[in-house]
Amino acid sequence: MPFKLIMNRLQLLRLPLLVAVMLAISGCITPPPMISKEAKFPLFYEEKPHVIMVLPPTNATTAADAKEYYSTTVSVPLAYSGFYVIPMEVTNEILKAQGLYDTEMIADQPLDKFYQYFGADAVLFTKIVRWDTVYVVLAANLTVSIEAKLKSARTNRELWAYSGTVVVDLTGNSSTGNIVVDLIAKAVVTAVAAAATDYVPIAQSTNFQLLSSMPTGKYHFRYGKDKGDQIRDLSPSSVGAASSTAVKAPTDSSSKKVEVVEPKETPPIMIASAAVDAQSTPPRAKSSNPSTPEPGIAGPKAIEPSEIKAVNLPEKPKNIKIEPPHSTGNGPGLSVYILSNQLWAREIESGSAADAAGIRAGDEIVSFGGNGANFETMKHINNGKTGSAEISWRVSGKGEVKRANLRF
Amino acid sequence: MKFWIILSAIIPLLGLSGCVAPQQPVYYYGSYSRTLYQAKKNPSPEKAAKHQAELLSIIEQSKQRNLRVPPGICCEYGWALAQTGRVSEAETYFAMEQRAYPESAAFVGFLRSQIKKGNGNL
Repeated sequence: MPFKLIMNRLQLLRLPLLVAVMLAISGCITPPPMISKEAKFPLFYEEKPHVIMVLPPTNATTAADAKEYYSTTVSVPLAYSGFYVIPMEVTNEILKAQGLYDTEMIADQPLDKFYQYFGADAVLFTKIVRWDTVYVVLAANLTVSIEAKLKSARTNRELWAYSGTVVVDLTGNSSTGNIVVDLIAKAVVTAVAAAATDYVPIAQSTNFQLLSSMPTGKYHFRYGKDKGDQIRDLSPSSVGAASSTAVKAPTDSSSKKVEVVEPKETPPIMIASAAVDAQSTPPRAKSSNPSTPEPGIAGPKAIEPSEIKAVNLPEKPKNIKIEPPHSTGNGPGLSVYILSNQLWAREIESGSAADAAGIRAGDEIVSFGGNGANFETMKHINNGKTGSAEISWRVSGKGEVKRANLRF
Repeated sequence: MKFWIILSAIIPLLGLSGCVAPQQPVYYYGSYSRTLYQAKKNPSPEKAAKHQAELLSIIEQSKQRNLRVPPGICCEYGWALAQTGRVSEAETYFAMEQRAYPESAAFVGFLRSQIKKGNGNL
């Protein structure tokens, strides 16, 4: 009898218990709090920089190429955000001619010379904290962590800062529904992808993501109107801060995924040897974002030290085109980028489904496949898979929203 | 009565001025990042020439598409020309940059002064 009583009590307890467990779970995966751009970067709105100069990044990693990948892809997203970007190639040469080879030599100096000579309103400093390619049999990931800050060249004040980590899954993710076939296909694709990944589009979209919290510049139509836009409260000092954002390399044929994990310790760059017996242990880092549950690709896999050798990032061999298995190409033929939680069409492949529907670069993508503008949708659009989806978009410069069913 | 006539003339004008507000920037970047990366990764005269050809193609393609040339592209191309002694051609592109982006005046002016000093031929 006392047993039954206990059971009854437990039954009564069940609901609150369930609620408590759910709360506990949701507590674990709560992303960083949201904050408005103006509250986060008030000095940016006070100074309104137009002209941005980008200094070569400081490379704190052992990846020799990280610096080049970063610096050759950073100006494009800044331009799309509406800024005038002083050509980095030219400033680099001038600084070198002046004997300034290293950004660290400039870091603590007053920046007024850049305003005086170059007309720069602000200077972007970046430190690449992590650039790792981790390769195991069924997964290859690129993890990029940076710390960036934009300092005023007029007042030396910090106008904007970001620190975050992006993880790119370098492998294809198409599924045949047959587990064995999938595993074999994935292993083959991973082996090829790790050897031949073209990092330029990946670095490009990583930069798009890293800079998406920056307020817009004067060539952007939301210039001055984005003060209330909500962003994740990420700052360089906040430990464990991670963007809940995700990007995917645009205009590339292979299907790649990007997700964000919480920054962990920074290991040296390593690429496991392609030995088939390389074993994977449980993921070291998990997705911090509840909206991007991607089982199996949650993060770089920990690998046994004996199986690791440090190498440079692989160069792309000539004449090899990587296609994800069972995918016919470039999806809707549309690459989008995210800025202030809105999706924008960046490039449209001519002859593609998106082109036929009349979507043009600069249009705002309102929804795709029943989902609104968010990072998941961006991945979905840029993913380059076959299928069909309803898309709605706002024509650039007009309020008109159009709709179409895309087959690709 | 006159007041209404004037007002009805002004209202459409206000509407028109609303249209010139800056829009989402649209640029044609071609393979800018790729050719630049290749030129920096393994520097060689061929790679540099390829990147310069890409810069020129971006400028021409942007014109064809009726787009503003992306910021810094004309400047970068002009600077590359100046380094091979093609100073007068360089000036054409510097002027182009300044027309498209008036805020580049200080930087373009600095480049001109460097070239005049002979620093363009580094």
